[in-house]
Amino acid sequence: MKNNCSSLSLKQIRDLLKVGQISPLTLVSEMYDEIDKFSNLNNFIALSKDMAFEQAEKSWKRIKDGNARKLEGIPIGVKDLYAVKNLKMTACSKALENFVAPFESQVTENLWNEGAICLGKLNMDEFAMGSSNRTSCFGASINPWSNGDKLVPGGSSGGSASAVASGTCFAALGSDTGGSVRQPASFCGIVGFKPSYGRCSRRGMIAYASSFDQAGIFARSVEDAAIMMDSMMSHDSGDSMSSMEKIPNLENANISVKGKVIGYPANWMDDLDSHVVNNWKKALKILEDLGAIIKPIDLLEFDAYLSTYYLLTSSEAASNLARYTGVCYGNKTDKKINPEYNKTFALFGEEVRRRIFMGVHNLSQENYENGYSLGLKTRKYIKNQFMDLFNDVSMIVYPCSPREAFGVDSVFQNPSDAYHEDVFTVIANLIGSPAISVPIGLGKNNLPLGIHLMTKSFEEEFLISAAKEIEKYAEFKGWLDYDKK
Amino acid sequence: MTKNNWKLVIGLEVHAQISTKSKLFSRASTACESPNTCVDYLDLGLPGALPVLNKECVRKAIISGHALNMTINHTSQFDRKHYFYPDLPLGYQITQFYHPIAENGSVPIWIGQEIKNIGINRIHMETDAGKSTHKDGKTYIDLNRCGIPLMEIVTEPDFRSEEEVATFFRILQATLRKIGTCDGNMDKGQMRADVNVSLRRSDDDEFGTRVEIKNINSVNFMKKAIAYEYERQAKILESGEKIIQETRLFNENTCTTSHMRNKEDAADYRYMPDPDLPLLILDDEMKNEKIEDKSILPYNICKDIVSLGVSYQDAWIVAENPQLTNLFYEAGKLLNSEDKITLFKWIIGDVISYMKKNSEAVVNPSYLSSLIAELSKGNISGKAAKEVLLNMIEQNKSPVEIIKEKGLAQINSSEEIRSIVSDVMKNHQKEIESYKNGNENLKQFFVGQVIKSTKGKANPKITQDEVMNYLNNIKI
Repeated sequence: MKNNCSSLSLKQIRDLLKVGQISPLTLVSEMYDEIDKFSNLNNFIALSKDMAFEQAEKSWKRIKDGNARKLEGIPIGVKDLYAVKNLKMTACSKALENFVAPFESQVTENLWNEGAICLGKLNMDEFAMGSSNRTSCFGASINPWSNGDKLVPGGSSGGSASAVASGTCFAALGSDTGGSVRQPASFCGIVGFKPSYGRCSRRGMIAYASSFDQAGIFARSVEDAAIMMDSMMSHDSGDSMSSMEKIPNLENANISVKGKVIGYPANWMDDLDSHVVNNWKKALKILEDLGAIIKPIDLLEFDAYLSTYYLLTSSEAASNLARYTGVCYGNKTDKKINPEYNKTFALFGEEVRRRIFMGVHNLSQENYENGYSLGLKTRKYIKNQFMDLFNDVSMIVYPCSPREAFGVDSVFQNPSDAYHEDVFTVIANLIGSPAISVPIGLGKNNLPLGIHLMTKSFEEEFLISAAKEIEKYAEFKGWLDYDKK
Repeated sequence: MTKNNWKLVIGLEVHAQISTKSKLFSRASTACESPNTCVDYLDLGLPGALPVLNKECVRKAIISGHALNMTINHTSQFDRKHYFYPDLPLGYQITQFYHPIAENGSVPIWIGQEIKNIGINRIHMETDAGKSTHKDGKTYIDLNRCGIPLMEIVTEPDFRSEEEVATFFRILQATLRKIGTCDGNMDKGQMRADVNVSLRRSDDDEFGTRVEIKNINSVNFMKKAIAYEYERQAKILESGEKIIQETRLFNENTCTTSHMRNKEDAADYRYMPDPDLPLLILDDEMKNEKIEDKSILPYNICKDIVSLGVSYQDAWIVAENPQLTNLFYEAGKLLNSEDKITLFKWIIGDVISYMKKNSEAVVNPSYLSSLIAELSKGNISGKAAKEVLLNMIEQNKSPVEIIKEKGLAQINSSEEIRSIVSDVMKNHQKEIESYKNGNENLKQFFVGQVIKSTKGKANPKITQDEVMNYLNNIKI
């Protein structure tokens, strides 16, 4: 089986595990070999071997007893902002260098309860603030598509995307505040899926911007992502923003796109790279060929969404991170950073500090009206705009990112240029909609591009159905191609 | 001397701990004594910990709003108030800044025998911070209080004297206790107040610049702080200078206030709606929360007792104490209004003084009622009644039985007393002689001797009459 397992899909490995054709213990051991082989990608920052083998042993027993659960024996990776009991949880920040989680996050608990196995913790941008995984205190994670020059995997869940794309786990948890699952998925040629706000509990996830944060999943296929998401979603009385909507069954989602009206913001096409536009058109063509009605729609200039997003998320971040600048966290033994109050602030990286400063500015009494309060108003306006739009269209389709993965060493002239990485993805978080990035083709540098699908809140079933169709006809040979190289 | 030139204007912000088993947003208990034993992940500000609103706090805040005759907002909201202090691990307090749970109410207080209504601006729910103790150059932090549910009750600036403030505070305290929403023990920090004080020339003038005195934890200290502020501000104003808007601290040892911070130095709290919590929209059950019978509220009980013809000050003694209130109404059920006043006087007199000495004591209301009836019928003397009361409480025995057992029934028969008088007189021939010789002062001596010989049972009025008859007869 060696060299083979890691190239199978999650669904395939699930079926093999279930019939006992492969033991979870063997599989876990093979996965660790793979992780070792790809250690240069710097995607796993901590391995949880004890936990993984213990879980694998239990899984093996259940399989033998005929008691296999939904995800029995499937090894996955976890973005390092989920609390896994007794494991370090750092958010890739110096400020949480030695923090060991005393509790389990709801999402990981749901997964372990279904038999999934935790291989370890994955690299990310510090506190999920970044779009290239370069703000991590563990150093950048690398995109497995790198040929010659090292490429970023995207961010903030870059480690998760890199791990799934390199075949070192069958799926990986990410979190998505403004595109942190979908953009890296696009960069790494895999599927990245974020459900509606409130579908997954935020309990036990380190908060970046509470009204935007939502768990997401990376997988090699839409079906794999759906299988994982089915076990991640739950009502949680411990997260007051948890949704009470009926939980869908996504693995078997099969709603035809025939006759559905699907919108695309025609006014965004003008300034984009031709490869990006061509792949966009390819996706629209697939849907049209399946009987969907393709309709141009008008959206605001991207900056309207992006400004609202950064105004609000920086403010919520400044508030959420206030707890770390107190007395509890940080390395108190370092003489240069003595244990006085507020000194933990110095442990934050540049990007985190920048966003805290922006947030404090936007929340200050002096700027509140033209800062946070303005952001709340424009967000409301945007929500209303999309509520109206979704009366006319069932889904909106556009590129996930305006470009392919870029070099780890590339420098943005201005910090806010980096924020433009998120131009297309932030809308789903602003309005709470589910959205998915599906590999659609290659860009001008022969690197993957994802197509971004979004529906109105709680219509994941249609979203996944449509994503499956796109995937089927896009014939993207993403991570498999890479494996052969 | 400045006293008469300036008029006080005072407003209060009262922090009352909502009496619940667990905290406002975490499941930690509110009942721990030893430091840092009631602390949940949220109270510690651990990453990934989320707040979940304790519904019981909402229910109690609503009930409190009703007791203070307020409008309950069917939609309210929680906000974050940011400030840095080591005993606030989250870096923000969760409060209701923009949309509080209750607004616009009033509570009656009394000045002498006049009723005055004090406006209540709002009640909002919020979390308390932890406790810092500074000792030997170190700071010790106890997070047991962190996250404890508070109601902040904000009054209008309707008070014109420290006495009004004290009266209001006691009424508020008794009201919250009665409805079970706050235990009101100030020594345990369950109630404390910020006091806003300003001065002006006359009651028709605009309000002056106010000064806030923070965190006062006794009614007495509130009065002293206000009195001190009056003198301080009057002196400044007399000298032609202006009051600066500032926050001051009260020193319990010197009973003075001192500067804490100016308005300009006040922290920018960067209020924002808490994104971890949805709008608080009341469900039907919460909307239907009410106080079935507002006559049970202490200020209404007080008004009711006053209608018997006693003063507010006296009536309040019974009204503010649920045990006494209950005793008064239970024992008074079958009494006429004249006897009710007697009952009332006995309660605020002998019953209270007994209870002060014996805090565990239980007074059986029907026994007390029958004691008052015996007294009213003249079956026992007031003095004997005091003895009966003691026995009645201590032995939990019917007063009629005690009177019989101890032979304490008052002798009301004139004939019986006449014969006792004549017996007593025989034993005091010397005094009789002296009386005959004009020593009129001995009249009361003879009365006293007769009563003494009956161990106080002889009806004093009849005794008086019979002694006079006897003396008049021997004079002739």
